[in-house]
Amino acid sequence: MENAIEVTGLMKRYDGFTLGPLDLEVPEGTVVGLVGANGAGKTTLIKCLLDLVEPDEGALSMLGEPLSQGKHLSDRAKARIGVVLDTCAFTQESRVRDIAQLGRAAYDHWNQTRFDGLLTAANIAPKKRVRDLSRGMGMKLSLAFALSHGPQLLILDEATAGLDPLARDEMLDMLRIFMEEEGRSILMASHITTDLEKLADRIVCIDEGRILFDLSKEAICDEAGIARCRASQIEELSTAGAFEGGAFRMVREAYGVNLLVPDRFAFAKQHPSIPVDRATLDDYLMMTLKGEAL
Amino acid sequence: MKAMIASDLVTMKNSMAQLVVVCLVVAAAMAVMTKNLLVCMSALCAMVPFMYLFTISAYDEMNGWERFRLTLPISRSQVVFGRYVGLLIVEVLCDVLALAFAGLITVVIGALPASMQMPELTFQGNGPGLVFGVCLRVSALILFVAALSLPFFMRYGMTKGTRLAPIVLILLFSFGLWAVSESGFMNAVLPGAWETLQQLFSHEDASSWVASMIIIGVALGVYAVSAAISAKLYQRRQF
Repeated sequence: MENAIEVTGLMKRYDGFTLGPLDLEVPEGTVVGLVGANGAGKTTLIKCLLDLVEPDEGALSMLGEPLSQGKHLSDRAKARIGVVLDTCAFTQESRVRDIAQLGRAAYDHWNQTRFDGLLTAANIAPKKRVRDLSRGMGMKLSLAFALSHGPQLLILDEATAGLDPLARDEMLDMLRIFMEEEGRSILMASHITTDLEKLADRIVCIDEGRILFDLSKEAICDEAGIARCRASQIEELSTAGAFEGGAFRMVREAYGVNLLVPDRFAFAKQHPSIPVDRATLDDYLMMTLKGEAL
Repeated sequence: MKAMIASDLVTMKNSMAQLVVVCLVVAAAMAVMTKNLLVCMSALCAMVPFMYLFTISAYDEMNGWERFRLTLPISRSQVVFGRYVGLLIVEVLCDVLALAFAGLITVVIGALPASMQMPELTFQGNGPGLVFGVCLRVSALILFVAALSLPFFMRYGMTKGTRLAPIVLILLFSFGLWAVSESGFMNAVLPGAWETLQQLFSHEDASSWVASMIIIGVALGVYAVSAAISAKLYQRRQF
């Protein structure tokens, strides 16, 4: 399987913030979710991938095209990438049908029928001005634009932020349909972890410019768990060496201690007296970012 | 580059229609008030392209459009050259509009009774040298302004660029005024040159045509150099 995105040793330095060095792979046919706190470096990484900023170090390849320093991403590669940023970027005065004109001018493989179909499905009238669209409509228009030139790779930066659950679900459906064709990939940065749980195959967490974890969704939402312990049990587990070689994290609560365990089945087998719940991506993220390492 | 020109024109389509209507109303009012065809033609040749330049540059920064546009299959140099060519197209169209407007005024005035004739508002009253010359000279002025402003807009964006570009324009204007003043170097190096230039531009004769062609040629040259500089600057810009 080839990688749609391949990043090795990427670094970008700003005053007071450094992204990387980080490695990332988005294999063809997969959806990779990018999570992390505000300012962690997700958008900077996406800007590097989209050639909006030049990395200071590292190697980067998009759809098999290496991006070397001083060289910009080719139009050929860009034509195979669909992008949705955190706002509807089209100028406010434009009408929806003007956006289609723009698509026809920019892309050789612009599919007007698909664009019209997506707009109809999203209930967006072609004569409407961009400024009159709600945020949800604006983001659906952005996604329709990104999907209408037959991209191989979608890059989404907080595309579902600020949308109501219904609009988010509709956008996720559009993405699921996109992924039905073989060889397509998505890199999706989002704070809405439930969206990623529904769609992503892998989750990459960035914290302070570095990759904190890069795991399959199953490893997080199926294998990992939250053990509800008493404080005394933590000491017992520690004495017994239960935390060796595992990514255990602990958060003290008012009436006990929550313990993130990397394999809830193995943990439950070894410690049947301690209840272990399935971890959501949100739990995993919170525990990893805020928890005390053991 | 075709995609970038189309992008700019599509983006400005709705605003341009409003701008043209407003400018036609202003030009008509100027024609009535000043009774000078050249003044209202100058306004038409200057206002729309000037407002186009600033409006399209302002749109770039709204909602991250400029950043998003770079994710389309449009290279950075195409963005820059497309912007320059787009403005040039608008300028040419406005010159045509100004000539058509002047033609319309000439026809309307020609249809009025003899007592209401105003030859100063007609083609005949001004002569082709002045009528076409004013279009060329105003176009040259707009191209000079754009040539000086666009590198700043392309490098720093509209918000920061509008702080820097006027400083350069004012400095150049002040330098120009000093250069042609009595104590300026133009008088010292080429005595009477300024007066000769003034004469060239105020009379309808062959030399006025030549002067207009020279000035538009120089403006296009400066505009092309500016485009090349902007392209270099834009290549390195980080978004």
